[in-house]
Amino acid sequence: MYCKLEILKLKHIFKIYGEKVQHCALKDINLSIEKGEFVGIMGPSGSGKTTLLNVISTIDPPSSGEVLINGENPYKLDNSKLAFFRRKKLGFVFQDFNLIDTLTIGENIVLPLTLDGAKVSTMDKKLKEVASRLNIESILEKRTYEVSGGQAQRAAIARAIIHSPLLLLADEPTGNLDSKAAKDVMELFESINREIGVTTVMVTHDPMSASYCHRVIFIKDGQFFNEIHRGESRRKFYQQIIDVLSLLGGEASDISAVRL
Amino acid sequence: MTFLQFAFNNVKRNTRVYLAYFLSSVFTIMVFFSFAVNLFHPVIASKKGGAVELIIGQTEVAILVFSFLFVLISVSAFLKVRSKEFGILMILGMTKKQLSWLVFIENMIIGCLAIIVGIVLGLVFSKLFLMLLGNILSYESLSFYFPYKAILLTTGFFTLIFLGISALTPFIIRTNSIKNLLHGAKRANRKIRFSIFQSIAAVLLLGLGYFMALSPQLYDINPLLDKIILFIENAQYTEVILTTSVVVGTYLFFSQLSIFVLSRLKRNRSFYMNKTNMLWISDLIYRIRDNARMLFLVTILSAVAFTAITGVYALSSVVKDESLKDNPFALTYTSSSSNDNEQQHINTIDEMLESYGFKYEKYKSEIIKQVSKDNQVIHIIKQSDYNNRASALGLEQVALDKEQALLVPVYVRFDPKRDKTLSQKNIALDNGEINLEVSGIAPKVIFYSGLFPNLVVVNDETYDKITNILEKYHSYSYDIPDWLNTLEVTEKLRAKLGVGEHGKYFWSTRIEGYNLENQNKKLFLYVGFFLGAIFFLGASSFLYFRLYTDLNQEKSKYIGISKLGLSFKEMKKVASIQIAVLFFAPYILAGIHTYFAINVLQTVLYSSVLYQFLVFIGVFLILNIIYYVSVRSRYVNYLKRFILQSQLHNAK
Repeated sequence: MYCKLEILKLKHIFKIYGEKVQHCALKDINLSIEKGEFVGIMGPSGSGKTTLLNVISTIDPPSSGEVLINGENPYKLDNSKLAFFRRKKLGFVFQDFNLIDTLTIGENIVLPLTLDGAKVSTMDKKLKEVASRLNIESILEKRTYEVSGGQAQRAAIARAIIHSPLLLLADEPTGNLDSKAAKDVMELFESINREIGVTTVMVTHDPMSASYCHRVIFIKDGQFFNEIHRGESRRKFYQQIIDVLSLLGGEASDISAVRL
Repeated sequence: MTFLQFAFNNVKRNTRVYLAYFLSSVFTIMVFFSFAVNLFHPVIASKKGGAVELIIGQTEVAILVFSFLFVLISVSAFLKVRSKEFGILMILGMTKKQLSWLVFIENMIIGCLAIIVGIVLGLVFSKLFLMLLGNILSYESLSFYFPYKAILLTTGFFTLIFLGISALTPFIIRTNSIKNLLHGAKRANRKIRFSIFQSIAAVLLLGLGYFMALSPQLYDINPLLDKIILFIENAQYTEVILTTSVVVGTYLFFSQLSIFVLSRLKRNRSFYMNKTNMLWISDLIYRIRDNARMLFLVTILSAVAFTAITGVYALSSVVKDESLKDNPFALTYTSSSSNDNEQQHINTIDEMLESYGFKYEKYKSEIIKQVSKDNQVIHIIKQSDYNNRASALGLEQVALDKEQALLVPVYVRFDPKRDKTLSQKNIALDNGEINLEVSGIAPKVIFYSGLFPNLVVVNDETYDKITNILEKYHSYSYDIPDWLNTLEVTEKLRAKLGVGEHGKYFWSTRIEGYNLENQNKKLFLYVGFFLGAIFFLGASSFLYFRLYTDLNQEKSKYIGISKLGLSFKEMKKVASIQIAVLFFAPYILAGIHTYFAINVLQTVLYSSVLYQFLVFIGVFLILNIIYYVSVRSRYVNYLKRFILQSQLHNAK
């Protein structure tokens, strides 16, 4: 019997900010992501996509609703168990890479293992594996300020997957990169997803990046707006994304224009 | 990379950030250790309860208290700057325990290294420190010894400090919201707030403190003022009130008043909108607001450092003056009528002085002591004896009527208006048999400070009529021009005559007082100088760190404005003004504080120390300028590099 394995499930997520003047950042978000999926989250600025990712990332508890990662609600864990949970099950990639400046690229990559107290031999082995997969062996000894943005993001991805997480979370991973580097990084995400099978959730505003996903969810004003699936052709998918965005933007661009 | 290596890398590759803190810690530990070496030296330790033990011991305590605060403040500043890094680590799954452990190891690495380097440097310089102390105490030499006790003490105390601060780190970093750590609490957008009430309070408190410091000098200008001054003088805890009001006033000065003034400046639109004024004023408001606590600390530390160094230097440089005024004669022997050996003692003194080849002039006086009806002791000297002394001291001769009296101060520092005995208008002798009118006050002490209180000069004829005689003294004062070399002969005389015999005779020399004062003040100079240096370095370390971390936040802003068309020259000007304010505002305020603190010191001194104050404040100004110039040029160079980089980046 075929059973779909649900890695992430969001049930009726609400997020309300502010005390006196309340602002509802997320309204009744429901989401289910299966093992091995590569999901993109898109929406205009201020739509709540980063808030949503923070809620999934276990760093911003929802005001109400339930987050289940691999069937477990991380917000019910105590602080140190939650830390262990992040260390074992989650991987993070950020827009501004968030590498530690005092460490070399190699040291940054093994950091999750260091925190876990792994053996040095294990670290070396895993570092070698992940570095060769990501093609960054040559920069392992370099410091963070000696590498390009694309290389830094590769290193950040290596750090995010070295401990084989259950769920890889990426927040605008291509936001600080030029188009060539962005393409490389997205191809990397795709190949990692395909080859290792790591479930990936990515927030982006870039349709090109989003077109690498299997599925893209659109949110607007904190609410679910639409979702589209990728077919055979990435090019076609890209066009579909653009279409939804223009539909979204028809109303949203007024707002974002004002905000800018 | 193990966890330990991780912590080690963090320290090793962040040397630039920690440099000033580390050097300052090393210097502090070195001084603490060196003083401990002095304190535990066999020769010093054998003299328990001496001035050395007291002064150096208390300095050690002061250093420890300062170190605790210095490390606490530095470490919390470091941690605040690293909040994003901690956010990253926590999202990667670091537990709070691990985070505390990491900070703990880092602190201990820096701390242990500072302790080791400090002690090693201390050992290297210990011979020098012992020589300095030996010189101060006029010991032949203090030999080098292996100071295991000092090593243990230093290691123990400073390990405790670093350990204690490390234990406090969980309270310093707020790890509850990773989101805030990661994105940084948005500070720049916070509104500038100041309270007019508190700004006025800053002025009032500083004014009160300064007024209290100056009050002795302001006496006798206005009767109302005099009442206030007397009230202040009679109030308890004057020093505490003075210090507190200046400290609180300084804090409010930076946190409220400066922002208030700058905001006012902003309202002057023709000034504010003129060229780059807008940039530096609006920016400065934020920087002062964010750095108010640091500026306050730097000011207080600098003020303490300036006062310590200027004060002790001034004290030690006027010792000779002071002892000359305290003891107008090099030697004074006083005998009461019950002493049978008077003539024999005087002969001994004369012979001894002659045998050493000293030239001297001897002045003999007779003094009658009586007690008035209201139980007041009166000492009486006749006019001829007074004039005799007056001629030796270069004072004016007096010619009194039979009904006149001249009052003689008993202490060098006297104020006729506030001194009870000196404000007498009439003197009654022999229980009212003889009534005299006070005709004036002698300008100087004529024996030595403290001898013969309530001394009255009377006409010789009146003197001879006095019948009520409680005691009759003979006092011999020697004027020895070469008094600075009389220590040896004094010691010989002490061996023969002792210090005196109660109720019979006593004698005092200028050289002994001079030596004791000299020693104590040199000792103060010794510890005061190093204490001042520690505080000054500590203050500089805060400034360095602050500017360094600010730079990282500032650069993106400068890159932004440079795109809007700000030339590098203008940017340099804006940055220079801002750094100058951060550097010199604390310096100027600390200088003013010091001036008033020195004024308080002035009240216990006879000689003016204004000159010494100006010299030292000038020296510190030069040091500060050098520091400013070097930091500013580095800062500007960094900025230049960042902007060139960003321009290159854009060109690509």
